[in-house]
Amino acid sequence: MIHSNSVASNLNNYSLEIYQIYSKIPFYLFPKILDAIFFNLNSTNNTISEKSDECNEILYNMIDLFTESKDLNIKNFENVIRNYFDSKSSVEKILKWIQKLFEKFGDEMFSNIEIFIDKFTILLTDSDEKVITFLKLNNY
Amino acid sequence: MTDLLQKLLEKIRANHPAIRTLIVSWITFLDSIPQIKMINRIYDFLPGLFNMLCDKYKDVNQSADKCLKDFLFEIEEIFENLDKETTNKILEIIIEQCKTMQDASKLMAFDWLLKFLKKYNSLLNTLSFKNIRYHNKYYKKLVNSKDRFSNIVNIKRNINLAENKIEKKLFTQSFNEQMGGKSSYFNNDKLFGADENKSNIRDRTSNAVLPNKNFKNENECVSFYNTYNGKKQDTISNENENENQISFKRIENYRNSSDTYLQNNKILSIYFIIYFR
Repeated sequence: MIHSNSVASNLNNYSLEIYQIYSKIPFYLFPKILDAIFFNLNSTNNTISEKSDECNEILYNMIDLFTESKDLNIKNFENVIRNYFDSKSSVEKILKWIQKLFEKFGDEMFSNIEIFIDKFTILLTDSDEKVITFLKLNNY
Repeated sequence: MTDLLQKLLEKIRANHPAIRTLIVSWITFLDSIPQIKMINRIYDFLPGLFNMLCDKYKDVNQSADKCLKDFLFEIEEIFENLDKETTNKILEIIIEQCKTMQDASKLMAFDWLLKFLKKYNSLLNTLSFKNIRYHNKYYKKLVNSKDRFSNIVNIKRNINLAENKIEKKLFTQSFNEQMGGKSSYFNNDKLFGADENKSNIRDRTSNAVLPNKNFKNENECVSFYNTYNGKKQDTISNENENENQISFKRIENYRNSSDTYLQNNKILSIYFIIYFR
C-alpha cells in the first residue's frame, strides 16, 4: 500500500512538473514563428536570412520532441506551409516541413491534399536541382 | 511608479531624438533599480524600442540597441522565472518585428527569437529527459516491486513448505493418536483399534468404545472385532512388523478406504505416505 502510494505521488509530482514545463511553452505562437521564419528565409540581407534559417532549424528539430498535435495546432502550420508553398521561395525547406509534419502528424495533416498535388507535379518539372534531388530522395 | 511608466510610454512614440534618448535612459535607469521589476513591463516598451533601432540618429539607435541587448540578457537569465503571460506577450511582439520592413528591427527581433526558441527547445529537451528519467525510475520501482514480490513468493513458499512439514508432523501425531498408537488396525475398510492400554477397542470414526472387553494382545482385539461385526478377518499380519512402525500396507488401505472419515482424510493420507517415503 505504501509502495503504490509513493508511485501515485511520484506520478502526481511528475504530472505537475510536466504541466509546469508545458505551460511555459506558447504552442499557439509556433505557426506564427514559422510564418515569420518563412517570410525572411529569402531575405536579401544575408544576416537576416541566416538567422531565420537558424531559427527554422531549431523549430524544425523541436517538432521531434512533440508527441501530440493538439498543442501545436497542425492546421495553423498547414495554412502557413500552404501560403509559402505557392510562392517560389525556399521550396526545399517547405518540402522538408511537409515531410516532417506528415511523418509526425500524418492523420491530421492536409485533409485536402489535392491542393498540394498540382504544386507537387509542378515541382517535379522544376528546374531547381535541389528540389528535384529532394523529391527524388524522398520518393515524391 | 505606474504614472511614471505611463508617462514614459506616452513619450516613447515621440519622434524627437533628444526625447527618445532621454526615454531610453530612463528605461535603462529604472531597470537598474532592483526594486523595480521593469522586465515584467518590458512588453509595453518593446515596440517603441524596436522602432528606435531604425532611427536615423546614431545616438538613438545605439542606445536602443544597447537597452534591448541588456533586456535580452536579463530575460535569458531569468527566463524560467518569467510568467507565461509576459513571455507570450514579448514573443508576440518579436514575431511582429520579424515581419517589419526594417532590417535593423528584424535583426534584433531574430536575435530575440533565437534566444526564445533555444530556451523552449531546452525546456522540451528537459521534458523528454524527465520523461525518460521518470520511466526509468518507474521501471526501477517495478523491478524492485517484482523483486519484492518474488521474495514474498519465496517466503510464502517456504512458509508453505514449513506448514506442510508441520501439518504432516501434526497429522502423523494425530494419525498415531487416532490409531491408538502402535496398536491400530484396519479391517474391511473399517477403522478400529485398541487403546494404548489395550483395554478397549474403539471405532476410530466416532471414537466410540466398542463392546467393552479386555484384550491380551492386538490380534485378540482384531479377531474379536471381526467376529463382532460378522466380517471376515483382515489378513494383515503385523507379526513381523516393528511395533513402533505403521506399515505402508496399512496406510495404503487407509488411503483407498471408502469410509467417510477416511475419505475426508484421503489427501492427508497421501501427504503422510509421501512424507514417510
